[in-house]
Amino acid sequence: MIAEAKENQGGHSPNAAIDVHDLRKVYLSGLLGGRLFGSKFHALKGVSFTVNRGDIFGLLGPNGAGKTTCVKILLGIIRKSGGMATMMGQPAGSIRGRKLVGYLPEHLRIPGHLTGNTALEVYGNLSNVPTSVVKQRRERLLSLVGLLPRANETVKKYSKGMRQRLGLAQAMLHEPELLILDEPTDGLDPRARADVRNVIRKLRDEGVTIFLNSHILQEVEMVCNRVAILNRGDLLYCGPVDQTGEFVQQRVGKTGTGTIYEYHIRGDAEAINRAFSGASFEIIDRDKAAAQAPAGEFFLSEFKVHVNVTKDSEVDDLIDKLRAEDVSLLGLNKKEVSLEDAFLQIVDENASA
Amino acid sequence: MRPYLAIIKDSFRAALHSKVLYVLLLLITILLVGIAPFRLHEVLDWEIGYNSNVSRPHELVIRLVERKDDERYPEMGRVWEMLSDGMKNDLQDVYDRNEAGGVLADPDMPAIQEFDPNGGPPMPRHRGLVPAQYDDEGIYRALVNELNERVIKDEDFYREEDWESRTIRAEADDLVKQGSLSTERSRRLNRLLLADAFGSVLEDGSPTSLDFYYLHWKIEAFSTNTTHEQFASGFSTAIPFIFDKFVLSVGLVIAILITASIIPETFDPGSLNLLLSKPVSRSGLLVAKFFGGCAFVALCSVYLFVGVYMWLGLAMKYWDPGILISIPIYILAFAIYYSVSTMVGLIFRSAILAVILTAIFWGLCFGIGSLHGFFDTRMENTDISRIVPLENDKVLHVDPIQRIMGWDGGEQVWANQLTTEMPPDQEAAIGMVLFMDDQLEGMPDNLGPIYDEVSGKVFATAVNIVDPTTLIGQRKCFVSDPDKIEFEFAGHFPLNTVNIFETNDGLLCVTSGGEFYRLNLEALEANAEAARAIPTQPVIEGATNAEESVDAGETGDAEATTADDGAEDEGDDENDETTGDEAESTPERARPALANLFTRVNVASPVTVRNGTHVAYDSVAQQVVIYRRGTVTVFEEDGEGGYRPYASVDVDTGLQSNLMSAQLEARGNTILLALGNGQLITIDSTSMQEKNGYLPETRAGLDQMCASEDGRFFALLYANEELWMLDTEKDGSIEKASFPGQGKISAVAFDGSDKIWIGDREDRATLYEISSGKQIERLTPDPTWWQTAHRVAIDPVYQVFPKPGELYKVVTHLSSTQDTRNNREVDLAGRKPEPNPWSPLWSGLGFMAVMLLLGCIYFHFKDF
Repeated sequence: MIAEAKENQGGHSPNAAIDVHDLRKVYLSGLLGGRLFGSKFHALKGVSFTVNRGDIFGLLGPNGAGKTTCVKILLGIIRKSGGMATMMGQPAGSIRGRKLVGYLPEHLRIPGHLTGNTALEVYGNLSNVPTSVVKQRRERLLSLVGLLPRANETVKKYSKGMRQRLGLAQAMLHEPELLILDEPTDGLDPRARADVRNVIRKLRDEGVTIFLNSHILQEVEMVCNRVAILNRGDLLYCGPVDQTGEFVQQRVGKTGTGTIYEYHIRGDAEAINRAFSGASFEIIDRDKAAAQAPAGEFFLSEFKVHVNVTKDSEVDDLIDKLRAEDVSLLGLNKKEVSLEDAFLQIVDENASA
Repeated sequence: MRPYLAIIKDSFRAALHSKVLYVLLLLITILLVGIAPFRLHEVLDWEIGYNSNVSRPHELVIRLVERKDDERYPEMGRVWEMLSDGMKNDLQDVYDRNEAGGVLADPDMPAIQEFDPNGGPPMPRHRGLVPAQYDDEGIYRALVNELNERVIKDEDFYREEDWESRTIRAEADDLVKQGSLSTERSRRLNRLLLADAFGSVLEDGSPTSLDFYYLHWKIEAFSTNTTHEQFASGFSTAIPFIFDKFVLSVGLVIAILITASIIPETFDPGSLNLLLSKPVSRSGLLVAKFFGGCAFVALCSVYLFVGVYMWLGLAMKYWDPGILISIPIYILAFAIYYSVSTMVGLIFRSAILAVILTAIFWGLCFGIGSLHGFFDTRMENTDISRIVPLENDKVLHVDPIQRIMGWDGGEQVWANQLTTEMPPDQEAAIGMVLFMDDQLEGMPDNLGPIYDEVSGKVFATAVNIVDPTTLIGQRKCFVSDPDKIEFEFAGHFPLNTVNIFETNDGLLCVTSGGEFYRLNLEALEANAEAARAIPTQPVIEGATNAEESVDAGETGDAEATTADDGAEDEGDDENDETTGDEAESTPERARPALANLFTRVNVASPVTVRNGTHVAYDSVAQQVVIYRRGTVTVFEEDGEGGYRPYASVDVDTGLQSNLMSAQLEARGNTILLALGNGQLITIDSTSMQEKNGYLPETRAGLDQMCASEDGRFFALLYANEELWMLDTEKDGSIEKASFPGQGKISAVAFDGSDKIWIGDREDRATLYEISSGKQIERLTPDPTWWQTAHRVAIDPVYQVFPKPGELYKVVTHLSSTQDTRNNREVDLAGRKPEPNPWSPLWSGLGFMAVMLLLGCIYFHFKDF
């Protein structure tokens, strides 16, 4: 496994907004709590991580990875099977802990008889905020999420994106110290997404900790400073978002190569193979004509080749070799690893393992 | 609290947003608008109702015709002169024709008083169902019509000279003194004058009557000769039932259908996850959602009931708090069903399943209630209604269908000793009536059994119902040896016998006319011999009964025991002139003639007896005590085998009317008078001074009353199955009796001076020593399978199971309690005991609480 890659293993940090240690959840199915005709499903297999106060933390993972399970345990919607989880210093799921948290669930459903204003009143009251205070705050919040002009319309007239924004407003209503947002930009248009990102950043600037659960990795990459990657109940990575590429490269580096360079070249395939012989390379793209050419037949085509180099001088050496083989160099890029790349690579590696 | 109130508030918001609510509110509005023009107008009653005020119209004719020219009755002459000539002719004709046939008779004529029952063949003096009455009914109706139209409506009817010799009642006197009267008051005065003129044959009727209007149209069919109070009293009982059975049964179904989706929708993950993330407890969330779900019903109920309350108050002048009490009660009825719907919705998250299982639950409630009712009725039929201790510690009892049962120690069962002589179909009909939880008004009770020490025999009556529709019947006398209970037919009791007593001189019968008859021992022996010669006695078969009833009719033995029997009736004594056994012979059947079983005893200044509970025999003082219209009269032996008045006292009941039902018991120096309103009055029979008066906490009708042999203890058994005791040697206070191991007491009887038999738990009889409370003997028959099933399964399940269909009883109870608490004029005698009116409330609340508790536990531990 990749346990050594985790930035921290969770623990009892007084500065942590969320502190998860060896968190486990087993779902039982069958009769008598799974004792009869039962089966078990391990949704979380001892997950540990910490979210520091002021972080915008992204929790990533494919479907079924355990992200929602983790969030539900934190909020007390389901009970953990083992391990420890605290939220703002309070046991996960406790009423005192929930007072400090704002939550925007995925697939939020707000009763249709409520208007923007009355919905905030209801959810504010549920968070023990007096109606008078709700009335003071709601204009600012609705304005912030762009719903103020339609505050008196019933929710059933709202689009999905509007409901999502209303959900965000209700999550902020009681001025929580921690916001847990489950797919906050789901259903929003690009403009609204940008607005939500701005809101999140603004909240971060105000000292609110954001715990983001999203499939949209670009969004996460844009706003989060730290991420955790879950897969099949295992924590694969937890650390700064800008170090995911490094993490991946480090993992690849351990197998013998260094920085990846992308060579955009045109020439004979055999000549290219000869030029790159001895180097760690991978042809990642070639034009159609070359791909469809019969084996052994000479065909000049364009290629994109990723090559792992350990020293900068090897780049020049390879250019020399290519030129020697009469291969034209059309372009050369030093390849950066995106979060998506890292995520896919980490998850795929975990899946094959 | 704020989060939970927010949920409830939001439920109201959701309800107000629901189109269904507005549809329902519209329907309720249509209902209220529809009934709004319906109003009530109370007017002074002046009209004579032919059916309601004239029970014996032929006697009206007699009074009028016989007194029209009598100088002693100038008021009757005045009435006569105001009738039309045609009517006068018709009345004279009716009178002449019927008098010739001997059918009509004036109950006040002295001839009746002089009648000697042993002096000659009796003339049947029927009241009620006689052909002549029907033949002339058109004339009777026309007479009543003329009295209304020509007499009552005539403002000049009253002339002072016509009424100088007559004492007119206070209300009429007040009107006379007022001088100038409105039309309504003038008619009221005339009506009162007529009532005074005709006496008992023209009933007073109600002081006011109620007219019903829809807009300006008077609805004649609804007009009633009842006072507003009487109407209100009846209405307060009926309203909750009407609401429960008609309005709410529909409303409840709609409410369940509409609210069934609330809980499943709450458990939609998009809603639930957000709710559960809030700092609220899950239990609180569920409970708040539950009560919020009741908001819909609350809104509809408040609108409906407040609307009806306002309508009744404004239009009917009847402000019934019971209507408002209905609001929380019927919300509870809904909440009981909704708790099931909530539980199902919580577990299965399906609105359809919630509706289906709630409907099944409703069926269960109905089924259990019906099953319990069926078994209860069957159990009641085995109740001990009356206990009769005999010599040698033997004991008999009478069950609700008037069978005399004796204890069979060998088989450990109560065995039937005497049938009621009812044919099976009639018995089945009465059984059906009992099952319908009704009462046969006016049905003559069997008297006895009673042990007569002089003859050494046990006597019992059996009522032979000739016609179940009119309840015309006769009382036959059956006699048994006390050691071996085998009853044999011995003859007939005197007509209109209302009670029988054991005296030092033998069995004594008291009739409604206030006449006393004593058992003739020689006749008893002779009749026993004669009866033994008739192989068919005692008769059980219906066909034989019919034949006998024909005999009875031929010999004037038939006894009208319709509702008239219970009414105050001056004319009852006309039938007391015979014991009816003189001509018990038909040549075709060669039946031996039966001798008079009873001999009339001379009674000076007899007092008519309204019914059997108004007469008592003091075996210590050897006095007969009779209560009549607020007066207690004591008769003592005159030394010549007869009775004479010893003393009488007017009892200060503090009531407006002295027609309140009453029960009387006398023993030692104490006369105990129990009035129908629960009031108890003790009178010292020596000084005739009132000793004490009580109004016990219990506000139930008195079922039975008896006294110990020495007169120290009086036992009072109330319809609510509570037994109270009066110890005359203590401070005379009445206390609730407590004997170990008793429950559901249905009968009580003293055995000597210090022992008491208590019948309880249907058919169990226990003998206790009064001073120590120690149990001496217990007769417990082996339970039948259905008794066991009832006690072990059906009754416990019924008690625990919710009874939403019975919640209207709580409303009725709350309304009626208020009514009876504030009004001592209410006669409780006819009221059925309320089987713990709070039971439906507690069981409903308990069930709801359990369902919510289970729901909270499930919700608390469930992962979503």
